[in-house]
Amino acid sequence: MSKNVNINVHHLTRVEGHGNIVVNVTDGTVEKCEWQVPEAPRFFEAMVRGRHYSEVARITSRICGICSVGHTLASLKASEKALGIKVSHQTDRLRRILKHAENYDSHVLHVYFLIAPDLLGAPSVFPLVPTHGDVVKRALRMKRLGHEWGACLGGRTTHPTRPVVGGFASLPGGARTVREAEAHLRELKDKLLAVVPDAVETYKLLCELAGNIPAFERPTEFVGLVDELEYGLYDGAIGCLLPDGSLEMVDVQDYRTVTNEYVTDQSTAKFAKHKLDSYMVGALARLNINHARLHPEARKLADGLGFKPICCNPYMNSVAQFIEAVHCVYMAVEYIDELLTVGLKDEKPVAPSSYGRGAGAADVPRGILFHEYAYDSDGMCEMGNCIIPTNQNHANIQCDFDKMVQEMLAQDLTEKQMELRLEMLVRGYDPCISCSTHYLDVTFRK
Amino acid sequence: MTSQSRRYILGLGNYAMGDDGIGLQIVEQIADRGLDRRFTVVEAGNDGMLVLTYFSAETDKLLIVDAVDFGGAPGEFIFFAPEDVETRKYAGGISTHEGDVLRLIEMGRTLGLPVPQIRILAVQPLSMQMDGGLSAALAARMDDYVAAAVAEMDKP
Repeated sequence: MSKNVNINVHHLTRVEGHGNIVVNVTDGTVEKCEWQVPEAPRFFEAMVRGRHYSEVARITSRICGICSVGHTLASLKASEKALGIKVSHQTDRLRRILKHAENYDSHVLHVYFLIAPDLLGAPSVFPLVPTHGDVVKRALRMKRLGHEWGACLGGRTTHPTRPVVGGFASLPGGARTVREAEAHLRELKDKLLAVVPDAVETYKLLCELAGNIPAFERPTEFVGLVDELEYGLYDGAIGCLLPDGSLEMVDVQDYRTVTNEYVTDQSTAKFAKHKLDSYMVGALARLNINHARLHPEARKLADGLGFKPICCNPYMNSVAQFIEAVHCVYMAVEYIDELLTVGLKDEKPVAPSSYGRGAGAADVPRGILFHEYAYDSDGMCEMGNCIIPTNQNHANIQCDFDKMVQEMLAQDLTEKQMELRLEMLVRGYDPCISCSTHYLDVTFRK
Repeated sequence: MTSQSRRYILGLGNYAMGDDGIGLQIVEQIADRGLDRRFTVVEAGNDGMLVLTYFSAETDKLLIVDAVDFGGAPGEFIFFAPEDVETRKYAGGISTHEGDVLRLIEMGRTLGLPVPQIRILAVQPLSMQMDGGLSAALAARMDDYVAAAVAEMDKP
């Protein structure tokens, strides 16, 4: 084969942040095949040094505008571990409901606005407006729920203000009384149940589009939380699932034995690996690990979509995200019922009992993340370490590229087809590479 | 405010990117000071798509608060309606990192969504580098922004 290919995608669209795809093939020989991340370092770990424990989660939640709930919760759990704090049952349940809100909200955004255009053959959501208006409207309805759900628990969905070290700063809905807070939870439950018809329509749409999902498989290691209580999102141990089905459990305090971060010339972001050359985190990893813990209603949809663990097609990450979104709705309803049955209490946050070092984890929309802090005897932060999901996926994306490019050359795909397939792969991972600015730039009409 | 409220003030921006966070900080101040008695504060952050979810029959008025480069002096603020301006920004698609709220508003119109009365409170930024805070020129005028936003929400 004497094929020449020159793919150079600078700043891939419909991903969060900046990443490049570079593939050079000369006379059928792959000379360069790289997933590059050119983002600058952001120094959050330095920012938290010298800060009081009460400030740390507010700072590190700003690592990400989408996964800010997960960063907040992982940060709080790390601080609570370091400060000898055990939170109440009520706090645990309210945080779980909040965590579910984040995963639901992000998954709706990703599946509908970032992935659906690929499956429908459109360059973005804008061309779909005239032809698929009802789908876009449905997506907006579902998205509104995600925001209201998160805001009810967290004060706001992005960078939540109510979760604090030791508990919550105020009751759900910002209520002044327990009775008012319970009314807010009942109202939220009604809204959650009202989204079910839209979820069913989404399921039908995905069934229609499933044939457009590229067939590609590469066995890899999957890493995600394993929680005794439910599908791992808010808490648990680190589960490391190998393609042969073996599952290794690692305590969150030993997370560095899993992440093994390293630097590479092709990227300013660190890469990670554990048992194999790379591992995958995110919805597909979680679903492979936690399939048996899905809520029965989500399990039905997973079966209907033909999902069977262990699935090694990274393009199926978006399908896994939808299944998770449904799981999140039903689990939140169950937790609300539980809280209303027991009755809410007006609890004060638990105070520190010691000062030391601790790590915390949460499994956010894009995968498992870790925070670790050490505090001095005045509660001031001495060190911080934060490992985000997307960095853990970079090596896996690169390994997928290596295999896929060879396969696409063998299939004699055109350069444009190869480029689209690679772009879709990266978007499938839902990478969140950095945060950027969003200002308007306008000129006044005459 | 209750969920039946029909008037919303949405703060857009990114805290971590200097003056880009001004919209978010203004609405946060309004909520913290308890000034949101006749309207609902929505801290939208970088989630511009959220604006479109408020295009519904139950919404009477939306005030979007954001950093806007309109050629003014740093810290200067103005109000305008989306139809008063043209965007100079190129956005290849939609994510929380790229996207243009003016383009989203146009998308809402194309979808046939009920478009409420929309006003934009635009604050001219000085710096949008990742430095962890507002420029002094903007921080010094926070009370003015808050008062202007609340007064705008009091108008029909």
